[in-house]
Amino acid sequence: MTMSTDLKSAATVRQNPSARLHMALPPLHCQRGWLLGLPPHVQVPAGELPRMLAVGGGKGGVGKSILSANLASKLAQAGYRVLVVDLDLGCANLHTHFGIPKPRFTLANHILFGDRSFAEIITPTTIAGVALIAGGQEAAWGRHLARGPEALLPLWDALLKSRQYFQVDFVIMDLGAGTQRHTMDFFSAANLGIATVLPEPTSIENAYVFLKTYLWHLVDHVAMRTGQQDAANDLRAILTKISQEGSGKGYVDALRQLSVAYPAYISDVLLAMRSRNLGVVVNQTRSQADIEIGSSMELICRRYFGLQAFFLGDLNYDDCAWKSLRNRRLLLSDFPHSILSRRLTRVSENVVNLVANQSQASVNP
Amino acid sequence: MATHMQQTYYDVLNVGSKASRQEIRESYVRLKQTFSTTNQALYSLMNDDEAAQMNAQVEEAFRILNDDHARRGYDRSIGLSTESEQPLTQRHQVRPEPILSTDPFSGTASASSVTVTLARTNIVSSTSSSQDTKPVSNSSSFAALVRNSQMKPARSTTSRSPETIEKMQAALVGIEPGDGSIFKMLREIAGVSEDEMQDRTKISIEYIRSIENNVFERLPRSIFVKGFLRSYCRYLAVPEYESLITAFAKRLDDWLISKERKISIISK
Repeated sequence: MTMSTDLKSAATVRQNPSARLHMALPPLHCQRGWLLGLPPHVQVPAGELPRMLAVGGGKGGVGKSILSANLASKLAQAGYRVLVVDLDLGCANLHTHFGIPKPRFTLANHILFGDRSFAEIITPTTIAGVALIAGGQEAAWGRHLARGPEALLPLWDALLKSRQYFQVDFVIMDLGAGTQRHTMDFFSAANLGIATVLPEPTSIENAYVFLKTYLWHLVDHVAMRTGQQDAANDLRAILTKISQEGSGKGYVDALRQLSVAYPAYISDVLLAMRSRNLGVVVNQTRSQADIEIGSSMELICRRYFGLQAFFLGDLNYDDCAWKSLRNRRLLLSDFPHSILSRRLTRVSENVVNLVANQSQASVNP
Repeated sequence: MATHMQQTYYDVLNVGSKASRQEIRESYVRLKQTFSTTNQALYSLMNDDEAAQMNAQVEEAFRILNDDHARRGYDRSIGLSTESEQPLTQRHQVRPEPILSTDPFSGTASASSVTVTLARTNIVSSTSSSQDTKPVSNSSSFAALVRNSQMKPARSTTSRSPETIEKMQAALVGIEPGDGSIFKMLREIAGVSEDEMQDRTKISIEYIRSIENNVFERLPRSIFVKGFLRSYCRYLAVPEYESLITAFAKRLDDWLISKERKISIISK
């Protein structure tokens, strides 16, 4: 962090009630485990990287965008510089959660038409310290994405360099519903991927499908980056069997079994898994049982998938969520004293705690 | 990195091998809730049979680890502790490091709120190459041990190794009986913790401590204390313990008489 941003963030912290959230973040450089799980076509630039957060969850309407917008604002209130990217390509509406009209220039201008630079599509929001990159609503996204994973390379490059060019502390990627390739690629790049779920069977089912797909992508990425395709094929065969026939022991058991035959590959996969955290947020909770789904999922993700999962907190069902949308204002600005706002603070605290600790652990192993 | 190993009961309960009873209990309750068939969070991931299987594993692990005696036997059977002559706490300090490794599969279930406790579970890397991931509970001697541990309070004299009995005999030579600390010394020679003594003899831990530290005002009449000490010595397999008990009971009686005399003087 440069001296000027240091002073700036320090000043913000002093003025701000959420200052207790602030925690100095040590510089973050590319770590092997994190790199192993990245999509193989992505090149990581030298130098410091921003903390990448991704908000996903498989199902639509579970509160990914509302969490992204408000989490970004909470982090900014604590003195961090946050860049929020709407990656729901084609159905982008994150700007509405911030209460701002659709920006003139969006990601489509940078990626699809190439008529604007990355700096030009960064839109300020009503919260100091949060900048937004709106996703385009163009139908052309479908065709563009069909061209293959390389189609989004300029975006990857810009996001990974955002720390160097714009002193961004956190990049928050608001992903779309579903398990499309680019969605999973961005989720696999996150230092902390947040799975948002509702306490409903449909949402929970989709969340597990999402996490399975995430693991499949990690397995693929590691295989391609290390050239261990044979091992990956065997692992895929076992994982497919588990998916079809079901096994209470889960993916951890499959990894355990294969570690005899392919110790190097499995240790790489485990390293990639351990270099990423998974956060679970339960949205629209109405009862204690709903909240407990979060800690159960944390445990299940650890036992079944072997992921480093943490229950970040729950967001209660509250009318202020839809009221603020109708008022065209950010939830936190519209209802700053709601219980929902306090719970968002707790989630943000947990995010900062996790990410700060993760980087310390990776810097000083 | 040892990625291939059998699951121990500690893995099943997601706790470290040094976990306290309290931690084990908390983890157990959490796991039972998680793998209960009515839990929404299991939807689409596990069917009822698989959940029930997980539940059974958790139950079995808890049954062993929640019982100090069975747990010590289990630790020995999986090679977690090779010595049996020292109290639990000391044994953990001197436990050889090389047999421990970090299990790459087990997470930290205790981090329910994210204050990031990134402690890793230390478990034993098994020497067996079996693919069975069922928790290690194979030896028949161990099964016997588990059965023993579920018996009612110990009534008959426990069998101790000849070395232990020799050590006890050596320790008793030249000692003036009547002091409670003798019992503590014997207990430590046998490698029995206060908790274990309480579990197996059903003497409350307060009485055990009061006897061992000569806190007479906390003890009941000598007739009861004699009974306690008999179970105590029988469980430790102390040779010729009757004289020790008589001496201690006499000291207790003397103390009581002197107290009553004092009270009567004051009241006069």
